[in-house]
Amino acid sequence: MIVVEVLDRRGAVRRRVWLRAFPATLGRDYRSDLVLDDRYVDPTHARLERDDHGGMVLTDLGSANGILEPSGGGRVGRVTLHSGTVVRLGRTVLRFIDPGQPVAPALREDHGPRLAIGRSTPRDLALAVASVGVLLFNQYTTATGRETLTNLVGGTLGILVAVAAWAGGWALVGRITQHRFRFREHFLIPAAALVVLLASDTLGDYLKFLWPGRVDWELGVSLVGLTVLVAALAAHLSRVSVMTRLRKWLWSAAIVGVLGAMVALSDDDGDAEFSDQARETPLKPVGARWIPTESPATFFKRVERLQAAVDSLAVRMASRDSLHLE
Amino acid sequence: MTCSPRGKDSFQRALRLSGALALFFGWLAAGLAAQAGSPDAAAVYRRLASRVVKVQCIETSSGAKATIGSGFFVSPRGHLITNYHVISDLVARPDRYRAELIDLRDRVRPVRILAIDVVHDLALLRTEPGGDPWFALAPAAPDRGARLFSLGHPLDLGLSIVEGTFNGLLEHTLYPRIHFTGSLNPGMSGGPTVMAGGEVVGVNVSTAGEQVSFLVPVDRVMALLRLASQPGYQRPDSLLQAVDQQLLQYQESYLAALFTDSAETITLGGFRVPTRPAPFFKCWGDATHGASLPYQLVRHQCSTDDYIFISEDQWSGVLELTHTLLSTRELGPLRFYAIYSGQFSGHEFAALSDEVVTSTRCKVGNVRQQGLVLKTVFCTRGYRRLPGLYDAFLRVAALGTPDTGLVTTLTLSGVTFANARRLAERYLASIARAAP
Repeated sequence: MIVVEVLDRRGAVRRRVWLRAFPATLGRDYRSDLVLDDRYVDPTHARLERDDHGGMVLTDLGSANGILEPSGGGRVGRVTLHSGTVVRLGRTVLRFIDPGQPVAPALREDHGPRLAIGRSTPRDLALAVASVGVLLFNQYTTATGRETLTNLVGGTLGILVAVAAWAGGWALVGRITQHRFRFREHFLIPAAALVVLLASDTLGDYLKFLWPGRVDWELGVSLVGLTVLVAALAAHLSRVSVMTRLRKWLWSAAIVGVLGAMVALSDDDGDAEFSDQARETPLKPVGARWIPTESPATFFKRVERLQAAVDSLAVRMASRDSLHLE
Repeated sequence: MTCSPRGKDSFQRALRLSGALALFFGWLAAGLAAQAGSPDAAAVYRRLASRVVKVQCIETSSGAKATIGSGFFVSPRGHLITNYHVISDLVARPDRYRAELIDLRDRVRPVRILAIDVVHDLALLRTEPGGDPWFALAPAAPDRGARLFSLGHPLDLGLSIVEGTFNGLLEHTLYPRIHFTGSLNPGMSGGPTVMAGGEVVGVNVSTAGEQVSFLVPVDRVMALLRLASQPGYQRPDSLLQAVDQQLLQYQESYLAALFTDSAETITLGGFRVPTRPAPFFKCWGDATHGASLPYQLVRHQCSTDDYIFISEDQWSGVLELTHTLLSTRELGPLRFYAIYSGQFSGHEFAALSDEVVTSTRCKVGNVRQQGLVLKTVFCTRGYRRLPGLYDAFLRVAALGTPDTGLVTTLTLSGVTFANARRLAERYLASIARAAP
């Protein structure tokens, strides 16, 4: 017994036919065992039969358009079929399946209602409250004027609306691809990402404040940020598709990588080594005795090295200029 | 240096503007002349006009003039004086520019630079002697209030004479300038200002607008002439190198005494900080008492007025120190430090093209001294055309107090790296807690 699947242009199964007796004929003729409604298919186009080894073989019966191996393959007179072999007859794509072939286990069904926001677990609720709290706190501590409650809430609401719009977009995609809206989950992903990003930013500021100049803390914060973005994207993707775990991480990393590279390229016109290094210097309310310090003498010893740095910069800038002139 | 056409564009703009205003000023001048009608000015002009020339820098590839100014003969052998800034293009790019003069009879004559004094903004030029009459130099300064006459080519409108008064030397400046009450305009730079008898008192150099103008005292001209007439004097091969040397020498002359132990200090909040490091600094104070802000700012600032014109796209020589005291009664430490961070971060040098300065490099540290913990940033950049000269700033914030902050900055320009480092170290050492 063999299952023949007639596929549509996007590869979805349109019709599934069980052939039990062989040889069986395929064609437009109504007496065929598998009737194909395709003007490019001959009345008696091909024959399906067992070969000497017990395998299945499809043979062209001298048709006008023949049997084609799909994806650009040429015309063949005879094809040995395995489970999953795809061929084209005229404009019809057929896939042959051995009914004994094992199938993938069932996907776990989300039993929640299809459109509603969904029931929140205590963990979700805690995450939502934490993100709103962190946003409010961040808004409050970075305000430079006399802040009113309305200003603070307004600013935070603005960010939440943006997050909701983002979540709504993903939820719509999920509704189309997976028939599941899952707004709550798509909302919590960026909320959690925001909490991690703001926390790592603050931590980076404190590290930079306490131990300036020795480690590139900013690079660390950027790496954490990129990782968080990849993770968030992977989490969104796993909710709108049935991609394997590896594929969804690769896709996320690729998307973030491309976006990151575009931002990096637009930031810097190729003269990064000649750009000014006057970066932000955060100040933090830390008690004097907790701040690691050096003596003025050791600081100025380090300053001494700047002369050589600036002088070699001048030399490199001069050689760059002479290159540009040529 | 408003008297200098600091760029072709601005100069051409000035010319266009002058076209529009010419009618008005023509009428005004006619009125004033009729009213004031000084017979001296007419006589001075008649007698001296042929000794003043127009000096211009020509861009060789286009043949168009890049800058214009004035100059005047000081010897029968074709020696002329003008401002350094009139011919600075030629000094910076001798391969791209040439200089020429146009005398009263409209003859165009090539000139070459014999000597320069970048600090005082003077240049000694020479042309083929053509029997030109020359100026005598005044041996002594006139009395305050003496009537002076300034000659030159304002806005390239033709030789003009401006009447004004001598108001002595400026006080508390790094290099000497005569305060001349009279209207100098772009293009008159490098022209002579003379007494009624025709002796040169000073060289037109800049204006602060209205009637406040400045002259280079004539003794600087004499010094330059003496230098160039020494036996064996050789014109420097590279004038830019001479500029470099002069700036290097000049900074040594005034930096040594700054921020020593006996330096003047003021108390700001709980801090003792330096102020007015030398008489040639001018200091200002300022405070915000806005009820709309949850914190208070007190500012104190000292700087030198004198800056040195090096080229159209570079000036130097300004020293500045600023203190900003921040305090709050109502903000918590987190919010106060967010504002404090904002005040401290993002300080930059004056914007100069990367053709003249390198990009900036910094060191950041937490420094402990005299019981204070200080966030300390030292940044520097080098002068690309003038080796050995740097800009630098030291920016310091006092840490550890939840409701008070002090940001203090020392900015140095056109100094050696060793001097920048030494002054920054001394400056840092002079910051202390105020005695209760």
